[in-house]
Amino acid sequence: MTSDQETIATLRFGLGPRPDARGEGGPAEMLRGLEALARGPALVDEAADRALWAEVRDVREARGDARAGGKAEETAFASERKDLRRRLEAIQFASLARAAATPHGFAERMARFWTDHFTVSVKFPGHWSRVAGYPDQAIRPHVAGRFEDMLTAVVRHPAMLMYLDQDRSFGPNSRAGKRRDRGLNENLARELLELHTLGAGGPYGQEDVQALAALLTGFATGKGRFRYRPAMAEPGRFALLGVRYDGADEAETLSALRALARHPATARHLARKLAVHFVADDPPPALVDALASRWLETQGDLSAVVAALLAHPAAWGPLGGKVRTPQEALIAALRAAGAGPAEIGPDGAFGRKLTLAALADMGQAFHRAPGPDGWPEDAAHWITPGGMAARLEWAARMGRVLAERVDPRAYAVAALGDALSPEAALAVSRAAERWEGHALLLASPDFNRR
Amino acid sequence: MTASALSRRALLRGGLTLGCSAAAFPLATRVTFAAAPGDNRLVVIVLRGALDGLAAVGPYEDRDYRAMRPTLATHPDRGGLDLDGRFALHPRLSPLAPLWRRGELAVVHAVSTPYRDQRSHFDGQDVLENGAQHADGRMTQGRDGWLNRALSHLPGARAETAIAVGRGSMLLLDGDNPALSWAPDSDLTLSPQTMDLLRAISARDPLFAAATAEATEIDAMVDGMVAPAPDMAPPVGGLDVGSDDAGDMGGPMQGDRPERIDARSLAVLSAEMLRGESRIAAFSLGGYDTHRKQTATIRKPLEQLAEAIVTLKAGLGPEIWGRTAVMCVTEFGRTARENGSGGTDHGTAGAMIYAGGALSAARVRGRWPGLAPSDLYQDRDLMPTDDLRRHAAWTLRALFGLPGSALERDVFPGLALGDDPGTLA
Repeated sequence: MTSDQETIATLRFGLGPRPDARGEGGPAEMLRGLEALARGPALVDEAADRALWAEVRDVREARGDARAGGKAEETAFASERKDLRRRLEAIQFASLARAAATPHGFAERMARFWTDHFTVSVKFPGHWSRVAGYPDQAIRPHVAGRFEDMLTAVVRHPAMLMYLDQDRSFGPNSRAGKRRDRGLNENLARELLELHTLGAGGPYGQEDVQALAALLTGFATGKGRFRYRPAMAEPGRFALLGVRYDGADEAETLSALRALARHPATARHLARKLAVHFVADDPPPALVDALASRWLETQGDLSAVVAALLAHPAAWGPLGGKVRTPQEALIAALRAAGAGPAEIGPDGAFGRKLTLAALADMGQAFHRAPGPDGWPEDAAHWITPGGMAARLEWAARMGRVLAERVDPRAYAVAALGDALSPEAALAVSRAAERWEGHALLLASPDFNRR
Repeated sequence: MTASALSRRALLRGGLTLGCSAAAFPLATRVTFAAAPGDNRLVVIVLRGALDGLAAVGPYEDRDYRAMRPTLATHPDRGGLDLDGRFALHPRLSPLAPLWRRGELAVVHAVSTPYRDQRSHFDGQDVLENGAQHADGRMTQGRDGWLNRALSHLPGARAETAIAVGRGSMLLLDGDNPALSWAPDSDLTLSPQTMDLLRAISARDPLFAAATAEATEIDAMVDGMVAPAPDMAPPVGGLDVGSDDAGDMGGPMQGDRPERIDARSLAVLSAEMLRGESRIAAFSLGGYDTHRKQTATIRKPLEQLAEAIVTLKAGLGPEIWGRTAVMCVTEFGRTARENGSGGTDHGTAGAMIYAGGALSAARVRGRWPGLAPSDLYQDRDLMPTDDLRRHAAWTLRALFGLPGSALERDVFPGLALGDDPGTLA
């Protein structure tokens, strides 16, 4: 299909159009959107974050009381737990509503890309409260800035430290390690090298993993927040990729991380990952090269790298190389419907069944990525018989709600603009009932590719 | 929702008639007589939340058992089914008694995965399904499921060979080898005319065309599984089985995890798929995390387990059941002693439950470590005396002839197969 520049910008680089707003605009505007997003308010700010953690502690206490006590304590526990769940669910709805409403679709996509790159999945029940604020605290402020700042923010966030066991890693020769006879946990160190920076097959060995693990000791948590604990930090000097760093020194560890962020292998790894995410499962090598060189020239200035992506002709080829993930499809459907924030929530037109529960059914519940490597990218992972059935069921349910507010032919145009194929437009207009026309569009390759 | 969809859902959850014609198996007919990986069948049931093996199969002759479990001991005096003079089956599993008498039920006691000490459901289930060797909960490099890796070594395996039944993904069967996944209550409610339109617009996109066609076929097959019964009452909502520990401390209310589907529906669809082209089915049951008032909270989950097995047997029919092994596994066991609130906490070793006509004998297997405080793991848990993965490996070997090298290197990296436990004939 051939589509104009704005359609490509909105579908490939954005989250789909809204009927009540302009599309993505040109690259300059998209970059300004990135800066606006980075400065935007957090869904979970400092105070809300502390309140959440306090609530987790209340639930824990109530649970203890309930185990020891009777009926009244059990009721109290159940209601405390319900309150916390409501609050966490409200954050998920709010993040969905924000993505559905944003004028900066591209920026939102970038934030989601980086959140996925530094995936944190929920590991244990109390972890939810840390994961809820993670994207807004560690990722979004840095989307227009430097990769190394994002990296160091991630490594100092409790959600990540808990997820990859860093808060359980002790320098064997540290005070706490000796006292408690505990040792290194290499989990975060390994993933930092393999997934977050140099990439699998990158120029590092097991000795580098161990050195980084030693340098990371002390990066721990306390009261649900990041805390550098010198008592856990391994003393000595450690060679990472041939450069020696002092252990038990937070600043030294951060400079080691900055060096990793600027490394040519990191540039290459991230350049390819960006191209895969936005353009094609098998992206043009020239595009990857261009992004990697820009990364090296600017030492990982994300605005500059993204500008290089948007400036490259290979990024503007025909649409359809990628499949929308369930989250992308849901957000695009909400945007095309012009759904307002008040409508996206447990009591709104777009309630749990159409949003959070549908994502779980389609295999992409919030904060449930299968591993630290994030959600799969390839089309074949998502478009399976079972995956297609889940999309069809969701499409049918959405269709019933959409039919109440908009004609399916108008909705199809609102959702896809000139990327709507004549065949799909005709099929939508021929559906026996309005809701089926909507469902047909939402299940079509036209809608589910970008 | 259309009327037919409603009644079908009701049937899947209520009383239904099993058995159907060959016409109900479009997948089977399409690929008939291609080289299939043998005639044996495997069902893996993952019991999420950590089943209390010491309650499910109580070592009532162990002299420390009753003292450790004043209210939670399973004993013939309390309605438990005496299996062999040493162990008793929990009363809520008594629907399985006829299987025991026919040599179609077995238990392996005091087994665990290599996972130790942290006792997290999340990590424990990851290790259980990934099959890794690591005590700390780390997964293998590929982060895939051992049952998926096993498919690499099954000659003639196709996507239809294995199916994960239920909503959402199941790590056990996730990986590079194609496998089906389907939820018994998933239902394509679009009219046939609309589906025709969808097929038409998907025709130019092979990926969407194939997935849509296959989804429609499976849906038709599931529809064909049950005879219409228009006067069936609609299903009652809220299928949650017991408490889901995963959300115990503040996961969002719904939408966090796919809704639970009842055991019977899972077993019905599994059986139907296994009567067709499939050789392996896997599904999960939940609610086993019984920290409080276990006498009450374990009832329903055990009933669901028994119902799943009995339904599988009925659905498969005598001939296929004779070639089937059902293997029930859980992430870890629970504490030997009951806690202060009439429940048990996360432990280490537990029990595997086997059923099926492919078993060699009704027997409680495994080396019993004893429950004296010095025999416990860390003075709190039943001591693991064998690796659960070893039993899973021998099961794959007995049913599908997987070579030992593949089992020790790829399916369960680092495993030493050791001697055949002899659970399967």
